[in-house]
Amino acid sequence: MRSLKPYDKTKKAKTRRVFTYFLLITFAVVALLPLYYLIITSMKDLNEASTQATMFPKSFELVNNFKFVLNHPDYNFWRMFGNTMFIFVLKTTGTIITCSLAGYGFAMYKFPGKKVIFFTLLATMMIPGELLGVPIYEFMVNSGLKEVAFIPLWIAAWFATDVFVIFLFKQFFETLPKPLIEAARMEGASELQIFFKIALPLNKPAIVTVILLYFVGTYNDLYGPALYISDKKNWVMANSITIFENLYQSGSSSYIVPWNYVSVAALIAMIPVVLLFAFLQKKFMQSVAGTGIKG
Amino acid sequence: MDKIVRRNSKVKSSKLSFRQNFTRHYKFFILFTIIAIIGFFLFYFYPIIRTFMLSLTNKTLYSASSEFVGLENYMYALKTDTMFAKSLKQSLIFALVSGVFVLITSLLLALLLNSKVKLLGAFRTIYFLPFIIPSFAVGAVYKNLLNPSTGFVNKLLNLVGISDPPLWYASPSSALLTMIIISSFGFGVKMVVFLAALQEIPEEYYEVAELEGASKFKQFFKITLPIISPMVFFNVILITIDGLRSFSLAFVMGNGSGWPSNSTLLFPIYMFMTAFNMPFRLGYAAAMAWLFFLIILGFTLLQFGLSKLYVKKDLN
Repeated sequence: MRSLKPYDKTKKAKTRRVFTYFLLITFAVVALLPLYYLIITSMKDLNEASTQATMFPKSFELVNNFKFVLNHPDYNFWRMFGNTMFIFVLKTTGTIITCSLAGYGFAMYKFPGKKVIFFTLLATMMIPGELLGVPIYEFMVNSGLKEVAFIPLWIAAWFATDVFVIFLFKQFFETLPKPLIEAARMEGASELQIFFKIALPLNKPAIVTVILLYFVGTYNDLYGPALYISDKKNWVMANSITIFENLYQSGSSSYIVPWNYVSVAALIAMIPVVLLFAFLQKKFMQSVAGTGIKG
Repeated sequence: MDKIVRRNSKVKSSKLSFRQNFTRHYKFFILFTIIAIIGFFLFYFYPIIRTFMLSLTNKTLYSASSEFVGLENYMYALKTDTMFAKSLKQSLIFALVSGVFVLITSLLLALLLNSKVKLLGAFRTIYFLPFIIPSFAVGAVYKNLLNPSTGFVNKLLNLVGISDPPLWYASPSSALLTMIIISSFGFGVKMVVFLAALQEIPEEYYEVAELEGASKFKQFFKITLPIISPMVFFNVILITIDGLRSFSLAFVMGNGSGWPSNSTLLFPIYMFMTAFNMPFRLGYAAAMAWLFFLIILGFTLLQFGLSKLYVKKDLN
């Protein structure tokens, strides 16, 4: 086919090719620049990082910078990471259990007005969190639960409030082979047994997607911690950067920002996500892209 | 009597009585969905109603009593409060400009990657990479890069002869634009979405078009665009709403208060400050939340209307 093309057409294709790669590479550079500068800055010493914009570091203090950050009294990595994981595990477990129950109910059983009920639930996806946050905050403060075991950050997940996940699970359960369910029923398994022993284990791909999305979502969340976390012992990973951004803040408007320490803190914060991305890249990209989480 | 009916129905009937439906379906439907229904009332229904009630009062978090003020909060937001108008305007600019940029860039890159380039996987991964920076760290990373004195970008601008480079996030005149630029780096995620859609278009369509002598340009407008346009429109809605609701970046860039001089004050930040900082004006924040919801709803309906106009025409 290609050999049949006239000469000028292949030439035109060639120019297009060059142009294509030029654009692709330009955008690749643009996408990599922030990461590159982040890594470079984490190697500089305090003086160089906070006064000069060198593209290749003159000093090499990476190890000392890491030591400084990890030894800083306000920076307790395991505590912050542990708190983040605590919220993540409770949130994800709650969502998976309650949303898969609901999804199974909608997928498997008849009920008068079922479609209307499901549509009402789906409509809540259109409601911005701004409209819901004030009364929930009011309740958490008045009931004294605001900063108890991170309750405000995971309690809603135990009430199947993530309608998108209900939808995801419902779609999946609808594809389950009916004879399989019927056979289990014949053998005398109760509906709950069928759900827990057959349906839920088969739902693994959807569950993995939810786990990945919830990890990224919880890890990245800034709004929740800004609202509900003030005590230093409750700090999460989202609090880890500002410690160093404000390190030399003296009250006056101009103060030095130790970009080398800030960069190291940012690098450390990236590690869990990088590991996930490295091992589960394909699933990761599919999950994030498939459900429209914002970067 | 019931037992007989049930026994019979097992053999033939397709029409079940209420009682039978209840034991086989309704009972279990309720059992499985009850938590979600309770959750709906606790975390959606109640807050929406409560937000509306609050919006008609002057309640603050710690005030024991509050007065009914009617629509005063709404009037104040719409007529008097310049901060409300400013934050809304800035949110709109932010959402639309960065949205358009992300849309064009991600679509363009997806199309380029789909034209059988080498190293497709590598490019796709690289474009996706900025996503692995946690959103709470994004602000710090770009502040470092764009810092007027120690940032790499201004150093580069100096090198090419620009002696007076912009102050980026540190100046009220360029801070919003800086935020738009940073946010536009998120094109990678949408690009993966579009690329996946493009790769699902059957190769044969293009082969036929090629045989009939259709130019690449024509192929794009006659094959590619009609097929992916519903998905593109859906993502336009998502991008716009995400942009209007954008919180994290502005919170970090503006130190939680729209710094410098309110130039990065987006609506979600202003609402956060009103409701959750001293003096915790819940009533007024609730009114603003309702106005904001109506704006988002308007946008969604508008875009759905537009998408019907465009998408339908293209599908044939």
